[in-house]
Amino acid sequence: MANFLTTFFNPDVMARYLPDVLSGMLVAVWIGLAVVVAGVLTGLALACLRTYRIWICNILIVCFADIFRALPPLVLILLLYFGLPGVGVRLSGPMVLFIVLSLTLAAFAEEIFWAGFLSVDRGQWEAGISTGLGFGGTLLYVALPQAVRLAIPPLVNRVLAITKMTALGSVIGVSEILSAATTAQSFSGSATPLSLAAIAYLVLFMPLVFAARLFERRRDQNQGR
Amino acid sequence: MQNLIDQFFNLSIMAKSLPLMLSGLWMTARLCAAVILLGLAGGLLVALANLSPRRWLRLPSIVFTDIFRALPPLVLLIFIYSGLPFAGIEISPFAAVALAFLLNNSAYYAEVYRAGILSVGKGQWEAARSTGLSQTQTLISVVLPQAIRNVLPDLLSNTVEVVKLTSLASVVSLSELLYAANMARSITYNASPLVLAALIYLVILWPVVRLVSRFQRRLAA
Amino acid sequence: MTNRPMLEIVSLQKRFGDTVVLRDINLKVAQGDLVFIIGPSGSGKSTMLRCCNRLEEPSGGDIIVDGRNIMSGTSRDLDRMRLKVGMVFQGFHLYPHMSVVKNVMLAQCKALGRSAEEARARAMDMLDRVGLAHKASAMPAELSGGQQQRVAIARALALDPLVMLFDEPTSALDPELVGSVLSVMKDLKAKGMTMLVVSHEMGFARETADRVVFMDGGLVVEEGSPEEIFGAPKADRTRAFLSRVTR
Repeated sequence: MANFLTTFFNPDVMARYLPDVLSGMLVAVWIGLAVVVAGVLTGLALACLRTYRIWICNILIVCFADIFRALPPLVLILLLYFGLPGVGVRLSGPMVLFIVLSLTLAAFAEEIFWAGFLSVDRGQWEAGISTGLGFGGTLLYVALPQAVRLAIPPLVNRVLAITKMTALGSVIGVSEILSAATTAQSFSGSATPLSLAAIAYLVLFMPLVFAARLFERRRDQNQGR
Repeated sequence: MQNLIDQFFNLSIMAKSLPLMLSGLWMTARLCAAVILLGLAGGLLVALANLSPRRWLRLPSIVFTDIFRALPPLVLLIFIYSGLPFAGIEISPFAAVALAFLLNNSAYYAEVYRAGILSVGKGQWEAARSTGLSQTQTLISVVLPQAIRNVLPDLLSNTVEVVKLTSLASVVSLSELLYAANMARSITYNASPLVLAALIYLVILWPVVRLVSRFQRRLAA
Repeated sequence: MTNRPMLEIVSLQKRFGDTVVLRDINLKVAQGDLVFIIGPSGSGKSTMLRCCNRLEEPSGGDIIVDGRNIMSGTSRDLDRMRLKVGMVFQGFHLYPHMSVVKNVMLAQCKALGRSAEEARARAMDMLDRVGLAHKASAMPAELSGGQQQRVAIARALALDPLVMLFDEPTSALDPELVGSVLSVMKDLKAKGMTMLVVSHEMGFARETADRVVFMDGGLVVEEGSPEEIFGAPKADRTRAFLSRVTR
């Protein structure tokens, strides 16, 4: 047992590599926040655009959403990071991570918001338009608030799943938590940095898990189950 | 433009790397079979524990799902693959991946099952129990079939995520599809094998993604 | 007619937290009798009925079915007792993922251990009895509410229960469908089934019930023959209730 503790929770090793892991957390938080803002806003914009039912637009949006929901993000990350330099475009690791994760989140967010729009009653649209709000006004003031409310629980879940993927940055040398930990692990010859990384992720993401649970419970109660 | 095509859509390189990729695909298929089946079974157990009236079953299952929803699967995988040997446990890449994804997927599948079981009305339980069926019989014959039907889109979309997740196995050098593609890329200095891998994932997963959307639309309507 | 009590409720009590729903209920249902329970909503009728097969766990008292106390014994014993106490719900609760005949077969196979052929034959008999043999392979969603409720009755009957409990079996039905369910119940009564019915169908009670029980505030206020209860109720509360519902 003591052996286990010194292997996975060695206090000296923890103290030595804590600063590295903390700066890794900072990187993960920044990229994560940027991904959430860019991804959710893009997804929302695409879903709104889709309500105009311009067929060519809609086909493009659906293809975009399908492709980015079907492709493993790691494939895209490797493709951009290792492929683009061959045509003279060199993107930094964090930039590649940001682009891929934002697009992935945008694809999922678009589908989630669109499902929200679909479940807004047709009568709501008719009421808005008949009271002179116009299409844009009805979209903005009537349909959007209802769609967003429905979208929040699945969206929080998806945001959680995708911001967790900042760990994929370790594969392309982004100095986030996991790469800090694996580097520290090979230098120190101890598994403790890996435990530290796991704890760091739990500290970052547990609040999101609780938030997701809270939203789900609230929705279930509203449905009267 | 020619440069772009050469770098990403070089057919002769694609053709050359195809045998390697196909053997990678075979590994991906085996991995998927293992982690999907393990996840479906593990998730059901966790969900049942979660809905149990007994505290000593419920609490561990809540802690389990919360922890594994918060931990990135890659972190879990590296922890198991690189960390366990420190504790004297040698583990093959395949076993490490299977174990990591079993833990991760069970947590996700459990949430889906849980929602499904809760969506079956109390009346169904009561009707079955009133005809003398035991708790277990009611669960198996009456509740689970309805629960699974109610959450089929979610089970399916979760399974898509599992298939995508297996690409992480390349990080621990398990020679699955993405690993093979990346290997071919580093040999040829050309990104076309990665594009081919992406196309293969698309061919497999696009129809499923479409199906999920279709399902969800029908439920929303 | 034997007057052996088939179902006996002895000082039954039920509390939900601090709320007392059943204070002290005592009731005997003789073999072959149809006992009809009336009372305002919130009087504890349904709770009492649901205690009779322990879908609701009583807080105190005993439920004796055919001389055996269902409050003692293991959970396996309870499942076996539940086979003997058929129950029909307000909301039918047919299993939506199974055909009509499978609905009637399930508990026969799983709880009673009958073979599939035996269960199917029995199911067809029972469906015939409620006039729905031709719907055997239909799915529940294809049936009207009245038909669904008759299948639910067949499902309970197929297990050869000693007593049947009816929890407002017609209140979820459109008016024109009520008659078909009541006539099945009347037929059951004629064949000697012991029945305990919670319902608002006063006409049916007057015509078919052996005894009528008026419940209010978790107590049996008054019981007697339909003539006594409907014709000359003794208690003020009974009179007040009847004048409200039969107006």
